[in-house]
Amino acid sequence: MSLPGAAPSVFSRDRGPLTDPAPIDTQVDAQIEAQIADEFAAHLELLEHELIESGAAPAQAAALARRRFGNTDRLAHECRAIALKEHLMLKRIHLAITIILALLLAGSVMLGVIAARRARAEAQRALAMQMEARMRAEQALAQEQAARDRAMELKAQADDKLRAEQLKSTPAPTGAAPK
Amino acid sequence: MPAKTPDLLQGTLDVMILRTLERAENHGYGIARAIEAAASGQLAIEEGSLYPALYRLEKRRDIAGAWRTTEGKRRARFYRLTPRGRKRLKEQLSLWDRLSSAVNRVLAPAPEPAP
Repeated sequence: MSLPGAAPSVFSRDRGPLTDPAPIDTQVDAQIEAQIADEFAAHLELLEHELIESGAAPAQAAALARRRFGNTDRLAHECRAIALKEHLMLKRIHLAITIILALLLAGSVMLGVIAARRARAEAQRALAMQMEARMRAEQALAQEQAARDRAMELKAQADDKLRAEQLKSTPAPTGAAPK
Repeated sequence: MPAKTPDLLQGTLDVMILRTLERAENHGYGIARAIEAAASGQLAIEEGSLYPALYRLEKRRDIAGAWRTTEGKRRARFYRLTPRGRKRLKEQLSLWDRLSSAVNRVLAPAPEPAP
């Protein structure tokens, strides 16, 4: 239903200095606008009918009804702002919660990444320290083995020398032993 | 209607709507006519200005609206007073009594000075 004789811009978004509550859920917005338009149109029809019954010409009745009703654009905008206030507030709360959750999620992901990097670096450092300790232990083992080999070699040399000295100090037999 | 009628005080329209709906449920046009008749044409109301008040009262759940057909077979949105609105009306009437008494006392003619 359209407003009788009203300009097509009755519910346009260009509403002068008043603050437009859009953008919000378009479907709810459209429903509210349609309801306001229907309600205004019903009022104007009844008022016109009353004026015609009291003797006004139909064209005059329409103009007079609109004058008595007031500025439909401004009034429709006012009604729309009141009706959609709650939706707008809910929308803003929803948006704020979404932003907070997104920030919390991003923060927790970043903290997770930082913690994982730190843990990896610590694990690498621990592994490096472990490898270094193992290398030192192997070196120490190798040195010990070398020392042990050297000791054995020295002992063998000493034994050989002792044996050679013993052979030298033992008198050689004078004759052949009787059979 | 007189040539010049007083403008409505802010909030007065709300209480007049609640009072009208206390008697019977009605649509915007009917409420305008009821107020006009009750005031004997002494109040100038831009009829469309009823609607922001109706939407505000409905948002506050003081009234509830529903589409119905009028006796003249026209579709109109009828409003009825809710229990919450009835309570609000009682409070507003009490406030109005106190306010109007205070204003009347201020506006009362000064006593004649003693001779």
